[in-house]
Amino acid sequence: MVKIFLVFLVFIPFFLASCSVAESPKGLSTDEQSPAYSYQHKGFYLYSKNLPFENYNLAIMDDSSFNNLSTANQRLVADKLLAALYFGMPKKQLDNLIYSRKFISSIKKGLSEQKNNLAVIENRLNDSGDDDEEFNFSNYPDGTQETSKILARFYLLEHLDKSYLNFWISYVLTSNIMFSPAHELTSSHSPNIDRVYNRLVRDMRKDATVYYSTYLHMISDDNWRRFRSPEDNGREMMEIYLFDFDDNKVPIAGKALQNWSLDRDHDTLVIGLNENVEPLSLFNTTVYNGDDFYSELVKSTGFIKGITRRLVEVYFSTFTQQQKQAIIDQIVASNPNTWQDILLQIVFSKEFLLNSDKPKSIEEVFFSLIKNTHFKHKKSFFSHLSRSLTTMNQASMKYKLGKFSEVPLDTQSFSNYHKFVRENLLIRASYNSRWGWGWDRDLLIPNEIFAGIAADEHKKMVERLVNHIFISTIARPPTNEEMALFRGHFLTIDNNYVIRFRLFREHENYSERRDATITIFEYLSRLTETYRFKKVSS
Amino acid sequence: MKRRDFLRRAATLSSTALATGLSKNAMGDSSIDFSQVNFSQDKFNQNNAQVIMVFLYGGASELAGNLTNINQIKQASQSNYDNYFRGITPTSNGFWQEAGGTSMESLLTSGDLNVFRTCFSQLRDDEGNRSHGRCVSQNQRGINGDSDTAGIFSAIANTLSSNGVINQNTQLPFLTMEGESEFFSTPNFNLEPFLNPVALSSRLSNPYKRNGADRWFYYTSQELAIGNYQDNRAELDLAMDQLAENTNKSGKIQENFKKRSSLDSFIEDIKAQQTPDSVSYPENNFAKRLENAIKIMSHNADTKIISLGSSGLGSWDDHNEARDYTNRMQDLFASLESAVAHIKAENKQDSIGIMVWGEFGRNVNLNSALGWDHGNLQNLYTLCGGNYFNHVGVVGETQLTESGQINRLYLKPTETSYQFEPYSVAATLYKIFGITNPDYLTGGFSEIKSGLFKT
Repeated sequence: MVKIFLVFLVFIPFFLASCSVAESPKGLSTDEQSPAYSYQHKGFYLYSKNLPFENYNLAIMDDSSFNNLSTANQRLVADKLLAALYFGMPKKQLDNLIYSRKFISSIKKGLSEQKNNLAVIENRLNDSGDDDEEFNFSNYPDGTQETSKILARFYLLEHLDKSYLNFWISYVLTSNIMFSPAHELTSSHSPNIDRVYNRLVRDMRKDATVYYSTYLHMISDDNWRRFRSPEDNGREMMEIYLFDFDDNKVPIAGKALQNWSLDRDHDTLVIGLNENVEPLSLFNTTVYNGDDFYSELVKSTGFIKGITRRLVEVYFSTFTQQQKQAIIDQIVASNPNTWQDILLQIVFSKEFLLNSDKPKSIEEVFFSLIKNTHFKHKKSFFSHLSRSLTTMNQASMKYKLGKFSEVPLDTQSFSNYHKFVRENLLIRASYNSRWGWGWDRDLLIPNEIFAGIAADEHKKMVERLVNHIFISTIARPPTNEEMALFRGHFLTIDNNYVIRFRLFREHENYSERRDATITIFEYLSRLTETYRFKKVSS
Repeated sequence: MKRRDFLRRAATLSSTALATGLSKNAMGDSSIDFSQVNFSQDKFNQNNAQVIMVFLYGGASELAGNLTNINQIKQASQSNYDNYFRGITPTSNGFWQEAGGTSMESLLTSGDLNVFRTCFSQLRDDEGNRSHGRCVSQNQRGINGDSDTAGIFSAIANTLSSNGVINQNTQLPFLTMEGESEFFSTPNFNLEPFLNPVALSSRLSNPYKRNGADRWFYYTSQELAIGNYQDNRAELDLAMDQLAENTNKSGKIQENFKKRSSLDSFIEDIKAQQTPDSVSYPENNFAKRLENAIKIMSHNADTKIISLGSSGLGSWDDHNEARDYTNRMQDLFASLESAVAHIKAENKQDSIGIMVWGEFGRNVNLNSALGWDHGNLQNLYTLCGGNYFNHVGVVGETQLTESGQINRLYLKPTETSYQFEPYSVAATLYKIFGITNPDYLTGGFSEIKSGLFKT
């Protein structure tokens, strides 16, 4: 609560200075029940309810359109949606949800509810200092501790609910050029990661508008640690949020920001008293000082287009510029006020769910797979993950200009990506539910997956297992050739089991079944579809 | 001290800039008709070129290589140079002694360094463009447009391949040690997969090795019955690769899987190569990368281009606290000095050439944050490449221009000085690799003149 109050304190001087109601404030709110929704600053609202799905302009997947897809495509779409949200479900759970014919509405409803027990999760994340600690967040190199804890939080969150959504939106934004904490810079520091990310999470919890959350970020120390002189900061804000690359505007911005500076010794933002008093023409209006500059920037005509473009570039990276522009136009026409309005409109869109074949980010692979396979961590796992992201050139919150909008697929970045997924997720099995780390043998491949198969029907068992692992991993069944490959390795020519691969023993552990499963995962690690979303044919 | 990555990510801005409705420059075209590119195999063979590209992301100040206007700059600057920097001593050729100038003098004396002080873009001045993203993209594509044109190295790759001087059997002709960059972009044509660059790390880490692919249960009973069965790949392992290759859609991921095994071997081969005892490099990641790049080129004549970036030194985007710039320049030129010694020890000074530049130079006003904002004139440094480059020494003269606005203090070429647009660097690269009409690819800009080329 104290931190939330401090956010208000940051804003209060500006807010009090400009409490008059503008004629047409940006981010019009319709909720008259909450006084917060009427707060505004220099003509933009601070908070707004999220748009209902039916108000989205981009065509959205709903239960009806989802249920009209073939069963195979339903699974692909479901898997794609969950992975894009950094989530996944074990096969049985996902089957039940799809068969309910309410998959899409169930996910939408879940995102509006609070189900996760956040206090318990924060206690688990912060429980350290003795031998029984659940996590060991290394602080090497700088920033690892903060990012690994953020990553581990997703792992601990059980439900895809409102709080999960807030964490996800904040992560997407801090991965982007718009809000990257940029801890690689000498003037930035690892606490900037928590400062930027947590501020965004709090913003989302309070339904902050895109205007307000961006404004708050731009006037923060964190942003000035990234862009560190009046010219630099002014230029980059216009380029990043407006796609305005006109160098002639830079000295004007620099003059408006002339009294803003980063203290040399402590990398602290200082707003001096030598404020500009000359009228400056920018954003088709008159600005004088830094607060004017940032306020008018978020109100300017290019802002919603600009921030939408930043996100469309990520989710439709393989589309042509024309196709992307059409998507941007649709989203902008829905008058989004919040980040949720833009991001959910993207990931629930038919365009994304059916037509995007962008490479998956490591988060989209990782969080989906660990939920699908009942993954169990070891104490230092998330520090290892955080460091590994750097080798893939997908580091969290590190880069000055955020992650690439396209997932890096140069030979080295991808090889590190493949190596991590293969060695740490797919061919890494825990010994059982209590010991070891990796996918949980007892939960992923229990006896019940062979329900209805007699103990001597080994061919059926192989086929059931291969099918189960394929669907759990890449959301499709094996082809005939793929099935034949595994039948050939696990079965004799007369369809008996090969010694070492007796998949079912009623009262014994699953070690041979585990080895067979690792073998299947070995193959899946070599498929492009493990690392790339698929287009869904209609 | 944190390890710093660079602003090559600025290039991400470029793709997004494409659709902002910015007017397309008449010289920027969205596609290249490669049948119009003229190629001389004789020239290609004669040059026998191998080029290492060092791109200083963030835009390095030109002052390290050019203090000829420093007295005027000091007088006009917002913040005081002398009070801030620990020494601004011009060398005899006007280099900044405390910022790599001593190494520059040494390399100049030995005939291994050319310094061009007037890489200046009038087009960008006219357009009001000093954006990292657009300038990186334009410099690495070699054209003053925001269109989806090929990167310089992709254009070279396509030309060499279509003229039959490199083919599937050429071993790793293009390498990057900086990850992806616009140099290798291929927006409007499908480059043959073998021409796409292979990426290596500065210390030649080997993620291509597939640990655990020799688990005993991957082998058949018959295979296991053979002694030392793990000396051979399991039949299943091979079958998995084959089936995956048949199943996978074409594209970069599939290409990466195909190259994995050969890269595993290649890296181990390069690691086994020794740097001559007479050569020693400074201790930093950039130097290690440069050293490995030269080992690769010395060991593998097929490698034509290595894109190096300058990661390992720090960012050149010196908007504030620019004092570290001098140390970075010292490290850069000390590393280059070692690289030249290495190249000579391998007797490759005629084939291997190094080119050093970035997206732009900087404003020379030391601003209120004690840094330099974006500029539009930069230095180009070339080293070695004796088959195709003459030693021309220091070229270009600059003057200080003041706009009257605070923090707008720039160096520009003097009216009589030789100067060139950044796109001429692309044309220079094209000419090195045998393209005889490079201006076709750059929208009209020819190679750097001033006696640089041998013929």
